[in-house]
Amino acid sequence: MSDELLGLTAAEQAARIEAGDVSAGEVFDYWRGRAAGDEVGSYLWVADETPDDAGTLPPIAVKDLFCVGGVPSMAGSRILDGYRPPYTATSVRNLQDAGVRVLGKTNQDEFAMGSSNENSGFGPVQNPWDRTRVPGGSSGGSAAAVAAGTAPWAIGTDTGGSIRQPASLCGIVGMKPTYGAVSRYGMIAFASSLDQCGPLTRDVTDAAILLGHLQGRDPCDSTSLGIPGGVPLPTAERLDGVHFGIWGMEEEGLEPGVAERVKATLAQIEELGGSVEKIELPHAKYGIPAYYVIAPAEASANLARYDGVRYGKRSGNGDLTSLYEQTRHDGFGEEVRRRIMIGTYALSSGYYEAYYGTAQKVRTKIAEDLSAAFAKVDFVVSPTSATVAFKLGERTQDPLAMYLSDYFTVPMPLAGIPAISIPCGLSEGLPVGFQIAGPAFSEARILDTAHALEKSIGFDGVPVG
Amino acid sequence: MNELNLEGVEPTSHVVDLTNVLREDMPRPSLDRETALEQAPDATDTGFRVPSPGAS
Repeated sequence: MSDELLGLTAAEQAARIEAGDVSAGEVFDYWRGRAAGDEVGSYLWVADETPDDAGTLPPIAVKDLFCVGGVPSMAGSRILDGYRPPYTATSVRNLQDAGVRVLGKTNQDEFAMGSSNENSGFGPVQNPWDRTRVPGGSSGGSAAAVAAGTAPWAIGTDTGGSIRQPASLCGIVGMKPTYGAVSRYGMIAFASSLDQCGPLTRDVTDAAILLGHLQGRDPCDSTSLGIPGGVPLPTAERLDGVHFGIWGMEEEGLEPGVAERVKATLAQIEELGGSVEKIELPHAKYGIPAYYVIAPAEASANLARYDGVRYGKRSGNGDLTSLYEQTRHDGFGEEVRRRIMIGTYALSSGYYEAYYGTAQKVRTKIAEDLSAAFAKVDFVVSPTSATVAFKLGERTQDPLAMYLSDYFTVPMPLAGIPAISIPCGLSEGLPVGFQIAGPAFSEARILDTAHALEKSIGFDGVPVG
Repeated sequence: MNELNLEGVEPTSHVVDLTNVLREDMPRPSLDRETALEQAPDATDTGFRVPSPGAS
């Protein structure tokens, strides 16, 4: 039975548990063994024993930045080395209430700042498809664990693409829900007006199941709303009458092999009865500059709390000023320090309007572009990433090249809308992601559409056993 | 971004149309002191300990 589990989706494993073919404890045991044998650096912590109450569904790999009571939760940062929070994030608690147990905590870019997982304070993650390449980021550990078969499913967070881009680079499904769909309580904050929790899974059905359990209004997060009507299981097999708008195919830097797979997917949409037209998002190209003002600005405020007083690491030579300075110098990595400085500058008196104010207006223009698109089409589609997984080290010396990794994924969080990435084939032997975005709270329709397309694409999602 | 004409454009500070989400002002349990101090690098029985701000 055990090795059979590797070939099953989480939903299929849940069905075996329910049928009594295997117990939830045996399933947890199996995945604990798989996770302990992880060879690509996906995990920062793996459960050391199977809980007495192993729940009713397969266990989950959780991105490190989710607080889980009594379990190391460090957001991939040395400044929180050894931190074990006294409470559990609402999203994780919702999963626990649904019968899902925590299998382990996954590696990530420090405080979710990065697109390659190379900014982790605990070392990089390798892409299971090619270990000389990055898994994407910032939820790189979660994506790699699902792709490598060391977790049945996982959750991550997406601020500018941190679920969808690693899902794309690792050949799995990743979804960023509408802002407010899932509570942010207990998620170690990066950029609070953008951060959103979502699933990373082998297929679209697993994503729908997880999202259904994750979503909900939470009194502890006043920006949370849940998803009206919940998340029904996707069933669609046809796309008759569904209208898609494709954008970004002329972007500089879009790899020919990626463009080819995306075009083939558009042809499949038409075969399934859908229609495709080219659309323009005139302000999409301003997404990256706006994002790299707004996100660092919010991060600079959010990360002020790491001062070595109440939790985490403390450095210094005995006086209070050096405690603050040295703790933050020693604890934060280079990219986090860079963004705190950019963000602090962007918010400083006299510059606020020129930087943060301008970026917020650009944000409005991007949201208006998308609203205008949804007046014409049901969904906006594009490549998830302009490239397949790049080499470890390839973009670390060039922050701007790294920032452009999120070109296709940044407009959606800026507008607060949901989007999914599904694998649509290989280029140069590496996975390509296809992104489907819809209006706010259209999760059920996006999942249905992705389900129909996934069946038609027939991507073989398990690379390494 | 400076090449755009943004005159009269409203800034987006928040994407969800929500205003003033309030709850009843009801007391509820919170972390006890011992738990709250558990993760501190340095603490007394009653609070976090740091070097005196007056010391140089």
